[in-house]
Amino acid sequence: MHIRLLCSTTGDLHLSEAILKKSISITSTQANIRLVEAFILEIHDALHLDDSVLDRIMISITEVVNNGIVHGNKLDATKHVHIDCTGYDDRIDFLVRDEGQGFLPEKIPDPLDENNLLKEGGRGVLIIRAMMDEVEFRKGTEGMEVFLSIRRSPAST
Amino acid sequence: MQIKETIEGDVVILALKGNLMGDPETTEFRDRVKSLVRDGFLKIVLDVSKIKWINSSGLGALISALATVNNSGGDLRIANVTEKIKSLFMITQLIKVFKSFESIDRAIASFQVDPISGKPADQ
Repeated sequence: MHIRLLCSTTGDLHLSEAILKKSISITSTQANIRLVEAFILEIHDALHLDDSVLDRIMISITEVVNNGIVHGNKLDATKHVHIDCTGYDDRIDFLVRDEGQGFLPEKIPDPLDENNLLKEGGRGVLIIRAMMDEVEFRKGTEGMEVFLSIRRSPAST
Repeated sequence: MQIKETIEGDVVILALKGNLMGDPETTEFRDRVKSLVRDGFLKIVLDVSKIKWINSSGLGALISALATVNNSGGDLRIANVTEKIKSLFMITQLIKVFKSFESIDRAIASFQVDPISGKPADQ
């Protein structure tokens, strides 16, 4: 059983029990993004997500996994990207781990700078932060870890 | 992803259907635009109404296509922008980069030259 301790805005503590736990590991080829799409649709089938929440999860998680495959694992097919999903009544948490050297998100050039607007890349982190309610990049034991969390109802608090 | 191509006069309409979230779809799309430019088609309208999901890789492919057409003296315009794509354009400020129109007809019309001013109708 997976229990998450939550702290509300009033400072009260309460426990939230996981209602779904799913994981997948893929090798580092871009074609495997399709497996991640199928994985997210399985989560959608299980939790009946709001369409806009599904959209935000689909865009963000494929974005993070693609970063892990290309920038983390450098397209080394012997390395993996792992995704752990934990669903709660009110939110869904994801932990995406690669086996690469990691990167510092703050070192990415600002994609909103006029000089960068026409660049093909560099928008992934901006999009992820806009789509999800919580995003944390951190160095894990084997590579980069990205924790992402989203409320299941866009209207809920 | 499916790409349906139709030609109206000297304007090519590419209707994209499915996901634009990385290879092989993004490469297929880039190659299609390069092929059109190579064949002399310099006015391209992208109908994005049937794109289900697009991420930063897909947005990068759109920018690459725009650069390909612009560098040959043409232009690429976008029709039927959904709320989902509009939201991404707002977040990334690409709304400043792409000329977007509510319908394919309007996007095509924007390429027509005003007989009096001699300028494209959208300028």
